[in-house]
Amino acid sequence: MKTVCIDDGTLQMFLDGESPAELTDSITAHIDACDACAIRLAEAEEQTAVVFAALDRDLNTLVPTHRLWDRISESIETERSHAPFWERAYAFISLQLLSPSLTAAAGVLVIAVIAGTVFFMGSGDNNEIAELNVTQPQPAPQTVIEPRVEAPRTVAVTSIPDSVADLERPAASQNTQRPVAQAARYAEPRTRRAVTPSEEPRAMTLQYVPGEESYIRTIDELNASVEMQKDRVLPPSSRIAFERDLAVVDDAIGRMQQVVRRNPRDQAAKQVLYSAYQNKIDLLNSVGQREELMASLR
Amino acid sequence: MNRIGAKLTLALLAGLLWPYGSALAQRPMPPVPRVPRPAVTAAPAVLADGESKLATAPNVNLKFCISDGDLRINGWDRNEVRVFVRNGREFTLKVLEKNSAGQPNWVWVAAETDGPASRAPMSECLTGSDVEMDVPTGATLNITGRSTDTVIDSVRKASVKILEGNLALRNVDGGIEAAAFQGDITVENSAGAIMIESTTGNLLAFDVSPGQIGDLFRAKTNSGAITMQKVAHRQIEANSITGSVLFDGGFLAGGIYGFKTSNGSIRILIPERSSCNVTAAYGWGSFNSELPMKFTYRNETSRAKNLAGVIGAGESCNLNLTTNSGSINILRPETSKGP
Repeated sequence: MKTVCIDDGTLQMFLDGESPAELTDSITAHIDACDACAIRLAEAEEQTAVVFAALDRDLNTLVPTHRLWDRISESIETERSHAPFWERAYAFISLQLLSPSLTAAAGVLVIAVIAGTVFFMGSGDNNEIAELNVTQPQPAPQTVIEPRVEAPRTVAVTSIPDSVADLERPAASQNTQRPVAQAARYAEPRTRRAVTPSEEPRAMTLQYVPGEESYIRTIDELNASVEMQKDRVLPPSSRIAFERDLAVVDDAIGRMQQVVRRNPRDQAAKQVLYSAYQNKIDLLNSVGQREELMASLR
Repeated sequence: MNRIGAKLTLALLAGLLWPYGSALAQRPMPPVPRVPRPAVTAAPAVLADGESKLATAPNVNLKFCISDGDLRINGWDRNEVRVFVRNGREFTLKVLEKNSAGQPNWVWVAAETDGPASRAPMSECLTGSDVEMDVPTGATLNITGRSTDTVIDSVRKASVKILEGNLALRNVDGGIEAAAFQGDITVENSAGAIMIESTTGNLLAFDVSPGQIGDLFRAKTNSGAITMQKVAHRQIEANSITGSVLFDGGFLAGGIYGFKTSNGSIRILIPERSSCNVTAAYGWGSFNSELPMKFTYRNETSRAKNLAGVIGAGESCNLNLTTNSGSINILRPETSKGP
């Protein structure tokens, strides 16, 4: 028995998944038995695929909901409240200037301000202005503008001695019509490098062997005090011996540091290095002990 | 308008000049030239021979400082302190403390400070061409000095610090602590914990021994040589930077010996039947042992060479040798003797 073929609407409903369960079962059973309907279903599937592919972009676009609009409005209000005063003032003025009458009034006000300024400046003695602007070179400010790293070129305004200033501006001294406002030199940016975190002293602890850093710190502290004491404390003969011993120890430290840096596991090098550090500490301490004894004998 | 402009200009100028005027007002007054004060000059000290005696406890503690002159201190079998100064400043024996029997057990030998010489530098220090002292053999000495050659013999204990001059200590059986910043130190036939230190001088210790178990012998000099002969301490540390270290004696069971130099040689003369564990680190230096030595570790490929080995049975003592560019030699005593 051949059943009646499925019409297009029912077939589309089946494809869209909108058919009821009983109908879906009967359609499935019919398609299994009817080649014509199976072909029509396949064609309908292809057409649906093409159409949905074309509409996919539009279908996936979010439709703004009320909640979204509310959030947008909140953000705008927040931005408005955080906006600086000048922006708000500018927005207010811009809004007001849309009115032709207010624009005309603002123009009149600007012209009045300019006219008043010109009047005030013109009321003084013209000769004074000429003298100020032409014949009196203003002294250079006593400041040095440090060049900043970001600026490719920097104007360094420096105080220049009179003699040097005269040499640098012969035209100004001869031709008084040419105003010299200040002595300025255009200097190339200094080669001083900006201190960036990467150029800060490296974490030397990474290079030290364990315990070395404390030795170095102690030596630095002792060095600072010995530098102040040794001229006063050590007589010439002792001073010579001290400097010689210090050179020997420094040499030993330097050589052993190289060895240890190359191979931090070299126990012998570390032992010799520590011994040299200790020698240096003892040597520097001896100056302090001598100073202490001298003080006790005074 | 001109008036207003002028007023504004004046106000602006006043504002600009205000900081300058404030700075002028705060500028310090020019310094008043000081009237030179007459320098306080010490009256010339009266130099003469002087002698003083004081009955003390047998274990008296004697302290003093000496500015210059040869100092000789001898122990004697009397409970008395005698001080003689030749051609020097007047002095006095001040009792700082007495024991329960009423005997002075802490005495300060000080120059007279009541006279005109009281303002002189080191006014409390003894001075003279010769200073001689006789003290009880049980005395303890505490001495500081500037420029003096010192000999101390037969006392219980001595602590001496001098800036310049040689120092010799003999028969001190209760321990020595001596420092001569510019001079040699010799310790002979003494006992106890011994610490001798010099900056530029040589150190010599001969026939010394510990007073009790655990006493340390330590010798340290920057540019002098250290010589130890018959040092019987079980713990010895000797360190010289540019000088050499010589040890001539025997190692004791349980001893810990550490000899270090930076640029000097280390020579160890020990009997052939000695027994010791040896560890040595010598950077650019060398190592040589005349005694049979069994190496447990030896690394001479690195710039910093080191080794560990055993002399004899090895369980007797620990010998640690460190030098940067010096040589290490372990020798038989007869080998080192010259022709």
